[in-house]
Amino acid sequence: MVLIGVAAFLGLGFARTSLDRSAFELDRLNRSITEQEALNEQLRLEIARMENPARIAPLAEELGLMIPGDTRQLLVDLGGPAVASVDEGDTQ
Amino acid sequence: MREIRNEDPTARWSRAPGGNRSFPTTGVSAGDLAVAAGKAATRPDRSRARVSLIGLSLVIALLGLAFRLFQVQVVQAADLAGQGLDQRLVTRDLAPQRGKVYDRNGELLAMTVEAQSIWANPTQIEEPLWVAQQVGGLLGVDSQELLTRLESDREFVYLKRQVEPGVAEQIAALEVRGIYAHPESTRIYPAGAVASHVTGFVDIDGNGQEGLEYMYDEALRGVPGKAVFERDLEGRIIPQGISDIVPAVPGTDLNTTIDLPLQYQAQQACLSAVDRTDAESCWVVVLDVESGGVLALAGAPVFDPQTRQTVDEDCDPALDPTCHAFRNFIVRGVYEPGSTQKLITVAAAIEEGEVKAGTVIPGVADLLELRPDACRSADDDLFGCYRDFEEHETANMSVAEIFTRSSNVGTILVAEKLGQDRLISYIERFGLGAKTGVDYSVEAPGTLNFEAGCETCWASAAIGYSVAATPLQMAAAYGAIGNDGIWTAPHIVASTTDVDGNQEVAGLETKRVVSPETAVLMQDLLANVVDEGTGQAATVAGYQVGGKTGTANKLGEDGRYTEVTRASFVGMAPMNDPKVVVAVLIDAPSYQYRTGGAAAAPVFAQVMEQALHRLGVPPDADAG
Repeated sequence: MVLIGVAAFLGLGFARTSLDRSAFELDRLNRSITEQEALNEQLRLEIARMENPARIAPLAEELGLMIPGDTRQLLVDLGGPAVASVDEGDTQ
Repeated sequence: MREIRNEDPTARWSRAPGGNRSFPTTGVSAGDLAVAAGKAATRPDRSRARVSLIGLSLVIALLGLAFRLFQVQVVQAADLAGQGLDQRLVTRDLAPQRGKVYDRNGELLAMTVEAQSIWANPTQIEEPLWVAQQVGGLLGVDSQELLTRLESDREFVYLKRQVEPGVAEQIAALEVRGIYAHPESTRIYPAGAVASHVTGFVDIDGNGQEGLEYMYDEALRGVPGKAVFERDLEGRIIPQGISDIVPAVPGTDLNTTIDLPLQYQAQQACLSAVDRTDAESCWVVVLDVESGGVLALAGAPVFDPQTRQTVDEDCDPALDPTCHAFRNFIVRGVYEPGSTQKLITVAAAIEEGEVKAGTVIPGVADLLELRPDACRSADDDLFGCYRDFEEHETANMSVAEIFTRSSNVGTILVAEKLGQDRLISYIERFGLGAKTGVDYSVEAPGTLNFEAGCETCWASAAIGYSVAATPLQMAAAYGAIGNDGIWTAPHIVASTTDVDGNQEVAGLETKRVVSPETAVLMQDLLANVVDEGTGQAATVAGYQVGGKTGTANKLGEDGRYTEVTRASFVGMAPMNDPKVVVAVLIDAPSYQYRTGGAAAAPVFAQVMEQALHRLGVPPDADAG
């Protein structure tokens, strides 16, 4: 009986310790999730800033790109209706 | 037998004359021995008494302990347990994350992220000057201003709120005693000034102040939560302790109809126009004809929602108070629309069967006096004198020609057939004089000035005077013509998404204002204006566009019209099935650009072209 009592006491202590350890681990994981979510938001912000047309347009112009300008249509008769457009500055 | 010594201390130490101690005497008398024998006989009694005394003391002490234990465990148990709990228990308000704002393609226009607010305890700062110089540089705050705060006798002063985490880390790396940081949410507008006229802004505490931020403040704000829990010395939650957490509910996200690249193009077009025409400001609104969704709502000068200041560094707030003001003329500004109003007048006359496009109005002069001698002086338009913009011979003109050439006199003659009551009725049907209901803060209703006894107000209203409208109202009115006679309330938010992903789509408010036949006829007339009339600068290569120019003189402080104008152009494209309406208003351009055709039409063309490209509208096969 005494042995069973001691075993039960030790078992209860062990279970309690395990439970507490798990609870601390859960708390740590929750904090980690919060931190990662905050980091994720920061990265989303970074992406949004990178995609800002006011940032991209000047960079694109530096690379020789331009916003599509005046267009002209070339109606090509290929046996069916077809519409194509080229930039005015195109030499074709 | 042991020698019995005299135990009397006064006998052992005697004081010598003069106050000095002398050694005790050693002599023992017979009397002393007798007394000692008597005392030895009483020893067991005294020991017993002592034991009893000690026992009694122990009992009293134990009773005291028991009493104290009773007090602690029974009487004060609840209070003490409560005090202990108070030390461990923490209650924290959980701030909800403010909802995000997206454009129609899912690009972020506004979001909330975690930032750090830097604060100081000046009583702990040892070298305020050095700290002000070091920290001020990193925070971008004037070091002299910082020094003033650091030298105060308070124990808490903010140095700067809501700085980015990287900056806070740099300050932490300085390891300055008395400088601290705490986390705080901050609102960020990733598109910066590009969408500022749409989003508006919040104050430092996250309360919506303008634009969508103000209009949808309650939905965006979310519901605060509360956390009650027990923590240990290290701040960790105690397992199996009290824990009652009501999580905060994040705010609702707004999915707008704004197209960010088009918004940027519209803003750039406006900035260029202000530069080119030397105007005070320029405003552009782009509407989706069918849904009434606002695709772009831009203006110049631009405004940075983060700093709540204009981006224009040349702007001196001392000279121009509007440098720091948030303005949105498209929704709040009212102006006399001038000739763009003629669309409503002519559409009403056609709808009512008073005229057709080919109806010839005889004897259209370039000047009309509704009161005798009204045109004696040049500035008396208020009193019944109406002139066409350009002088011309008196001629018979068809309604189509009157509209294409934007003849004031001809339009008034058409309106005369309609009469004042029916004209007012159509002006109201097209949405002027009342709020459109757009989901934007503090919309202006505009005004219809038809005072009782005003004999000429109807004529003025027919050509866009005596009526004050917002650019958005004019765009919506043209949208009705583009939408085959159905007016649709403009809106900016297409849907909202709550934290669970449930989407609520905004309902459309529509009403028919003219028949489809009249609308199609008006579309043709608008196309004529661009093809042959005053709006040729609005041509967009590859598409057939239609629109109407407007040039309205501004009222001076004395209530009389000045030479300064508001130049506008409102139009739509493609004319075979209008998809987009663009309204442009340029305020106070230089004299060379005083007309809608010269100042606003080129901006319209630029924005309309981008809008058609963005919406993937194929070019017209028969367009030039």
